[in-house]
Amino acid sequence: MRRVVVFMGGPRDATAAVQRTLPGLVETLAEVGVVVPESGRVDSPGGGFSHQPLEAGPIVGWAALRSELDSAPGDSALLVIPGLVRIGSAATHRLAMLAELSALADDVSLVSVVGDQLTLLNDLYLQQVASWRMSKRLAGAVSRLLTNVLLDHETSLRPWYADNRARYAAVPMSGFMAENPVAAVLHAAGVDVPAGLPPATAAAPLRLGPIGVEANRLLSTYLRAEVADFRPDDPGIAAASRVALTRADRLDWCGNTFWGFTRRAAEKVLARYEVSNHRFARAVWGTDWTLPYPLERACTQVDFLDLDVKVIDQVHRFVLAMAEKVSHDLQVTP
Amino acid sequence: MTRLVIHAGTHATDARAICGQLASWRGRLDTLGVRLHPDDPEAWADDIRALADDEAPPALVETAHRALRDGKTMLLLSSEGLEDSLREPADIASLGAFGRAVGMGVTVLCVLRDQLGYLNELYCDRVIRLQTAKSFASFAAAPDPARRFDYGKAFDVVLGGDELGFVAVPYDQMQDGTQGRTLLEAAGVPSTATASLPAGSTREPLPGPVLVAACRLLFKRAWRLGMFNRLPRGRLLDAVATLRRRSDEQAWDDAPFWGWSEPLRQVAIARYQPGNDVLASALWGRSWGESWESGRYVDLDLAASSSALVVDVLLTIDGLIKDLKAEKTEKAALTAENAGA
Repeated sequence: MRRVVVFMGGPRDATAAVQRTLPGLVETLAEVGVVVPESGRVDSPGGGFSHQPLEAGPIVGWAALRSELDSAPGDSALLVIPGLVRIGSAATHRLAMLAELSALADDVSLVSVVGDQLTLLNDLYLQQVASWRMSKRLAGAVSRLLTNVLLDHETSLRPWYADNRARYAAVPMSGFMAENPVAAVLHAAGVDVPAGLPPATAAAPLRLGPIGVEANRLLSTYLRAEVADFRPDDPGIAAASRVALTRADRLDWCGNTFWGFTRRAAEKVLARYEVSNHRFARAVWGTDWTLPYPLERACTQVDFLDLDVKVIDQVHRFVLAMAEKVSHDLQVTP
Repeated sequence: MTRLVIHAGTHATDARAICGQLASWRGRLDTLGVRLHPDDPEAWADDIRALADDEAPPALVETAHRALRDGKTMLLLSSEGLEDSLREPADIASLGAFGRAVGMGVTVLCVLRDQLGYLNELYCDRVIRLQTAKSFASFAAAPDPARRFDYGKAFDVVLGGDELGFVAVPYDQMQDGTQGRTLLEAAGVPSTATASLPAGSTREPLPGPVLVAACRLLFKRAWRLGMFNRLPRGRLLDAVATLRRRSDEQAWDDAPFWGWSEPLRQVAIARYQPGNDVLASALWGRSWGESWESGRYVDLDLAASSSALVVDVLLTIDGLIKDLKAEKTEKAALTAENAGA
């Protein structure tokens, strides 16, 4: 195999779009010499698949993958390992991964999608609220969320792009979804793909809207008193939070409408990343960071008590009903 | 010469405590030459309202004549409900006419409180009475009636006319329990005379932020279920009383409600300071000053409060709503039955 392209992750929507689009393109890609290996595939909860187990290190699956690629027709292979963006600072793990990848092909290209930190933080907050890890307002949660090293592209990705054993390319999130996401990844790595692939049509992962955020913040606080030893990582709790998300969607409380930053708060966050974003962009793209920051987006975070009478009634009943269900399910589920 | 002195609030300046104190001092005040309305304070508001409506109650006319006959220096009436009359020329004229009819000059006496404390207390009062479920910020941005709070104009009618005298006491000069003494002194009773009056009724404590939040939630849920139209208001206020008891038992709050965040406070001061200075200059020959009330602002985020508190608040309100709903259903069934019969 001459070249292996690895999609190493990015914002939640980008990763989900790649995973969901990929299954429908496997045959088309094979026709132009791009193999999507069977080895290491795992279904993603949101649809599609990735090669996530490979992320675990040099032990699982690599031999099978090498064997599959040795006998595969084609010039290039595409692997989807979204967890890679997270292990940049874990030198041992990263070097082991690079060694395994280098053993697969002569040329290794790593591709990630990068976006502005405000959108990333907003998304991160929504994920934490939906999984009942967070019950504060975004303003109160920001200091904790900012400890996530992935928000600093330079710090989290430099170990990859500074290592000459692999080529690294970054695709800006803005515009990424307009193109076919798999084609965008391959283009970034310099692989030719047929023109005219359809853009991403897969639905974006469910996101809580402003009312959904309030309902889940209240619910998770409530559950902490009602469920003994409440831990969001517990599989039963995690499953229940997904049920709550689905119910919130049925109540029309989901959608890409939540924005937790005021202009002032957004500017404060950006001040932290402006310099490192420029350094990252110069190192990777050879230019200053020019991706837009959504500073004009209006804050839509609401307060439970300010909700309309109809909605507040629904939220109150939703919280009590979900709490009863979760308590009951956890009692009857061993 | 007997003067008629009318204490007309303003609102949120401890009028209830003041009336309680005055009533408890009735005998002593009489010996000091101050006659009060003959009934208990609960009855004062309606009679005094009637004065402003040019319908002097016979009992009040009789009281005025007796005060004159008995050589009292002052007939003192008190009702904070009269505050809004001070902006109505017709009401002012009625009060002046009553004074002339009974042969007394009339002086209106008000306690003036800065708008921060005034609006904070008024908001709590309206929330607890289930008259509003707005946020404090929204309430304070457009208080109703707006003209009460623009002190640069609020007292123009009473100050501009010659029907009535007008005396105002700054709220921050009054000590809780003895507000009535300060009021009497402002009305002209010497402090040597008031000093012997014992401390009396005190102001009612303000609800805390959690109780305020709970009342807002109760209001909204009850409204949604149409209970404001179908149940007696007293029944809804009983539910508030239950919330209050629960709040006390479970110690929901550790401080009174104070809705002014610093940015909101600065905006309000900038809005009200010029008018306050105009009034203070007219009344006291000085500017209003910088002594605005302050408190401990709690940005209550119920969803991020303690879990036990959230459970207690949500379950208590849900229980109350279920009870009210059952009563509503029962009432509707009875109505239907009566209609059928």
